[in-house]
Amino acid sequence: MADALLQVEGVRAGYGDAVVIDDIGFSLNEGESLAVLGRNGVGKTTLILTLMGQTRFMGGRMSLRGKRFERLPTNARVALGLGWAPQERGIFASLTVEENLSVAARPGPWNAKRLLDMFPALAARRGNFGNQLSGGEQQMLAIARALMTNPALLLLDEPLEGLAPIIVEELTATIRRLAGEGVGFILVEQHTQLALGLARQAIILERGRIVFQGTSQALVDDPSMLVRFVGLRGERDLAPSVSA
Amino acid sequence: MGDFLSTWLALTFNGIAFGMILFLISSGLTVTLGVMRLVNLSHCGFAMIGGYIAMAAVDYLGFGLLASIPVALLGTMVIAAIIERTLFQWTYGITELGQILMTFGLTLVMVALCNIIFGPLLHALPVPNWLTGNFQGGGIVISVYRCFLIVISGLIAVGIWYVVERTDFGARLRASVDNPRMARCAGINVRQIFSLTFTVGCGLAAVGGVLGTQMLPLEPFYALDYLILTLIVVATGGLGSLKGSFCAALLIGVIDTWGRYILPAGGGFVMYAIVLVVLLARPQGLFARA
Repeated sequence: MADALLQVEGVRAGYGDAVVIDDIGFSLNEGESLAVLGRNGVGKTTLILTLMGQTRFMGGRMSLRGKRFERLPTNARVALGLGWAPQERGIFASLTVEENLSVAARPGPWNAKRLLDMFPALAARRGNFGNQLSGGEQQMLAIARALMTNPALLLLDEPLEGLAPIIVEELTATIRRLAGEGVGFILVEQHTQLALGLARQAIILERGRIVFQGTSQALVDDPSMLVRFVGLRGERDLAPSVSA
Repeated sequence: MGDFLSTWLALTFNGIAFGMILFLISSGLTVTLGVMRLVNLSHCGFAMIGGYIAMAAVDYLGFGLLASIPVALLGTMVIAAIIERTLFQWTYGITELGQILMTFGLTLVMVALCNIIFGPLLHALPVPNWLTGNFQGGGIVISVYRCFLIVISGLIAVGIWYVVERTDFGARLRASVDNPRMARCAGINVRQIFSLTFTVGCGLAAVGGVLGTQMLPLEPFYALDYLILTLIVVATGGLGSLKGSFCAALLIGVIDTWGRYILPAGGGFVMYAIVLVVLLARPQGLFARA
């Protein structure tokens, strides 16, 4: 697919000698979004980490805008166009909010002013150190910092985990806004309903392999795959309307 | 009582001057040891190299002490950069024992080379005439050169603080210190940051080596003689903490100076004893990173 933003073919990766994901293949076009679903331990985060060069790569091909990157160091992948908001947030504790943003700055439309306007809670705490922020604020900062790299593709690893409902609502609206502005992203999220509402495409992983690949709407229309591989109890775990 | 006070003030002043030199020499080591997790036992060797380069500039090129400082700084940084790119890159990621053996071996090579080139005698770089003599007032006698040392070292310390706390490079260094993995994932070339910091740290050690020859005279075993002191400064201050190194260096400088006055036959015993107490109370050091 000549126009694909991200192309992943036959990727196999893990840690040490352990293979965690195997024969992973999918593609995303510019501005598209993908939800990665599955039970705990199936390899969702490993997939994200593999894209970022943080696992042991064992085979396959990965390319972004036609450029192969499976052998590039992590910082070079960021320069290529991958932006990552990790599950553990990874906020730099001894840097202020503004510094957390500035160290990640790359040329492009996203800058500190625009992001602080998007996240007023961060703007109010711009001089605070990273370890002085609440969980929700740290998550906002993690997303903002990823956007400061002006990525072609944003990787969001469980951005809503452990947050209060009001913060979940705020971040969901932010992600929806990013999608509306054409920012492509891959979303790993345990909140299946929210994930399917935010991303147009979805894959389900089971024991490190893809067992479903298609549209989010297809999963909503027939939740049997979700029941079988994600652990949902059925349609009652999905709201009637979850399309973005 | 006046004599007692003036003696203790003079000792404290001399101790601060000594501590400043220790800080300059140790500042680079706190980053390499505390952050890059590189056990670099050859760090004092770069202070020694800087001192000898300055001595060569003074003896063979007719430079004065102050003019020899940039020569020593740049020369040592070039040597450090070459060694880092050729030898040290093989030590990243190996066991600590491997790093100890490699860097200790490098120290022995430095010692041998300096012995061959410059001989075994002690050397102290000549101080310019305008920095000789003493300030006297209120019964206190203070060396002009030690005043100069404190001022210059203080300015360098302020410069280090400014670069680390107020510049983009410093922010990227602090990010790399906090979380190297996340720093890479934010697009920071951590390897490059650490290499540059290592090189500059060796340069600072060289400046300390040049300025401190009146207190730490140059001789081939310099790299081994003062290694323990610098390791103590880093450990007491807290690995990876420049603020900690600064405070620990001043504390150790003052305590060592007082200790040698109180108990001349004991050498550095007083200082070692106090450091032992500090580390028993705070094994992580005074200002360990969170």
